[in-house]
Amino acid sequence: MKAFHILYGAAGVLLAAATVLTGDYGLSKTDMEIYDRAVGLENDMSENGFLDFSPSDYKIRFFNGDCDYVVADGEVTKEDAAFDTFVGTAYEIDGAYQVILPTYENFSELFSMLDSAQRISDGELQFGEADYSEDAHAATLWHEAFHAWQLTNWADEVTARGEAADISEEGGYEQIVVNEVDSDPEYVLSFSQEMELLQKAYESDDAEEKCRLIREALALSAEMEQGMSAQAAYAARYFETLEGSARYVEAQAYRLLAGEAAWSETYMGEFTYSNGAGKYYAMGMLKCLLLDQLAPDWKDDFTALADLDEFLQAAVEGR
Amino acid sequence: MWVITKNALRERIRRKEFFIVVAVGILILLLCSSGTATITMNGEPITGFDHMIVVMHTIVAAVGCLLAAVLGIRTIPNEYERKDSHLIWVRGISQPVYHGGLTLANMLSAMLATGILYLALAVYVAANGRVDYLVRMLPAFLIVCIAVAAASLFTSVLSIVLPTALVGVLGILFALGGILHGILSLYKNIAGGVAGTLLKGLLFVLPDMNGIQQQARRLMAQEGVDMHLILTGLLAVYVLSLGILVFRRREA
Repeated sequence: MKAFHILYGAAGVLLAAATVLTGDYGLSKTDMEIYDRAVGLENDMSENGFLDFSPSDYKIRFFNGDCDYVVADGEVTKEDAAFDTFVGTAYEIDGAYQVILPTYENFSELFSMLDSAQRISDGELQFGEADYSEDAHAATLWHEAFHAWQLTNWADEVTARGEAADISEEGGYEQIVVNEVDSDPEYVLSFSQEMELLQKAYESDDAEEKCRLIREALALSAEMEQGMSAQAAYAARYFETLEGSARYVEAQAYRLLAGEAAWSETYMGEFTYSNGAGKYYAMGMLKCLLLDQLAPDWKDDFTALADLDEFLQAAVEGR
Repeated sequence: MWVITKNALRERIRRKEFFIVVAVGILILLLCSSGTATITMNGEPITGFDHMIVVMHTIVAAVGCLLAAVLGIRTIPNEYERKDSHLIWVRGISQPVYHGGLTLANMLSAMLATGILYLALAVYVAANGRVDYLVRMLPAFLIVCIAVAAASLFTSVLSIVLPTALVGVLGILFALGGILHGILSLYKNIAGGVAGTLLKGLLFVLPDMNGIQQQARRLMAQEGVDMHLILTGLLAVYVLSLGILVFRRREA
C-alpha cells in the first residue's frame, strides 16, 4: 500500500509538472502578429495622416481575461489588468494614455457568442462563427490608439466642454442621445436625409453637384441642431468628432490591411439610422471621407474639439 | 476491488437513467444527422459534415458528462442504505478501496454510455465516408473520457460525505459548469466586479470539459490539439481522485 501511495504521489507530481510546462504563457503569437501588422501600417497611414499621431507612441495592453500583456518599444510585459472586463478603450495609467484591448482570441469568441445569442433570442437555433478578423482587430487597435492621441492632447478641453454642457459621465452622452434624439421622429428623418445626401455627395464625381449636396446636408444639420437641446447637440457633436474621426482612422487602417472590397463591405454599408451613438460614428467617418475628397490637408488642423461641419463648410466655400 | 467494481457496474448499466439518457442522446444524434433539426451557422443550414460533426460531438460529450454526474449520485449512499457495506467490512476491505471500486464502476458505466453514443457518431462518420475521422475516433473517445471521468468522480467523491440531494445539485452544476466553461469564461469578463471575481474563482476549480471535448474533435479533424487543456483535465481527475483517499464515511 505504501508503494501505491508513493507511485500515486509521483504520478501527481509528474502530471502537475507536465501541465505547467505545456501552459501557454504570455501574449499569443496571433496577438503579437496583429500588433506588428497594425504598427507596420504607420508609414502608409502617416503619408496623409494626422500630425504627430502614431499608435506605437502608446502602450498597448492586451487583456487576456486575467491580466494585461503590455506591448511597448518592442517589449512585452505582464501587468495586472487595468480593467477586469472586455473593453476597447484609451485610459490614463501612470500619467499617460494607454490603449486597452482584449486579446484577439477573446474578442472574436465574444463576438461569436453575442452573435449566436442574438440569433437564438430572435427565435432561431443559429450559431455564428467569428466574423471578426485579425485585420479588424488591428484596425480596432488604430481606433483606440487614435483616442489615446485625442485624449493625450485635448482631454482637459473635452472634459471641460462636456461639463459646460452639463454632461459629466461617459455614459451620459449616449443616454442623452437615446432619450432626446432617438425618440424624435423628425430628427430621425432629418438625420437620415442628411446621411443620404452626404453619401450621394461622396459617390458623386461631379464637383459642383458634390458641393451642392454637402451644402444641402449642412443646412439640414444646422436646422436639426437648432431644434435640439444644448446637451443633445453637444452629445451629437462629441460623438461625430471623437468617435467619427476614430472610426475613419480605423476604416483607413482596415482598407490598407484587408483591401478595397472588404473595406467597402464592412464600412460603406453602415450609413443608415440606428438608435444610440453608432450612427454618429458612421456620420463622422463619412464627413472625414468627404474632407479627404475636398480638402486633403484637413487633418493638419484637426483637433478633438473640431466641428466637422465647419471643416466641410470651409471646404465647399473654398471651391 | 475489481469484484466490487464489477458488481456495481452491472447494477449501474441496469439503471433506467442509463438507458433513458443514452436513448435521448442517440435520438438527438439521429435528428441532427437526418437533417430534420434546423440548426444553422452564419445563416447557412448546417448540413455539411464539417459543421455537423462539431454539433454532434459537443452533444455526445455533454450527454456523457451529465450522465456521469447523474449515475454517480446514489451509488455509494445506496450501498450504505442497503447495509451492503457491512459485508465489505467483515472482509477487512478498507474504505478507500471500497469507495474506489464503486467510483470506478460509476466512471466505467458513464464511459460505456459515452462509448455507445460515440458508436452512433461513428456510424454517421462512416455513412459520410470519412475514414480519416474514423481511425482517430478511439483516441478522441479516450480524451472525452477525461471529462466524463471528472464529472463522475466529482459526484462519487462528494456522495461519500454529503447528502444525496445536495450531491445531485452540485454534481449537475459541476457538469454544466464544465460544459459551459468557455461561455462562463467570456461572461466573467463581461460581468466584471464581484460576479466576475466569483466566476474567476469558480472557473479555476472547474475543469474545462468543453475545451477537452474540443481537443478530441480537433484530433479527429487532424487540427492542432492543445495538450495543456487535456493535461489540465487529467490533473483535475487526479485531484478529484484524492478525495477517495481523504473522505471517509462516518457510519462505516
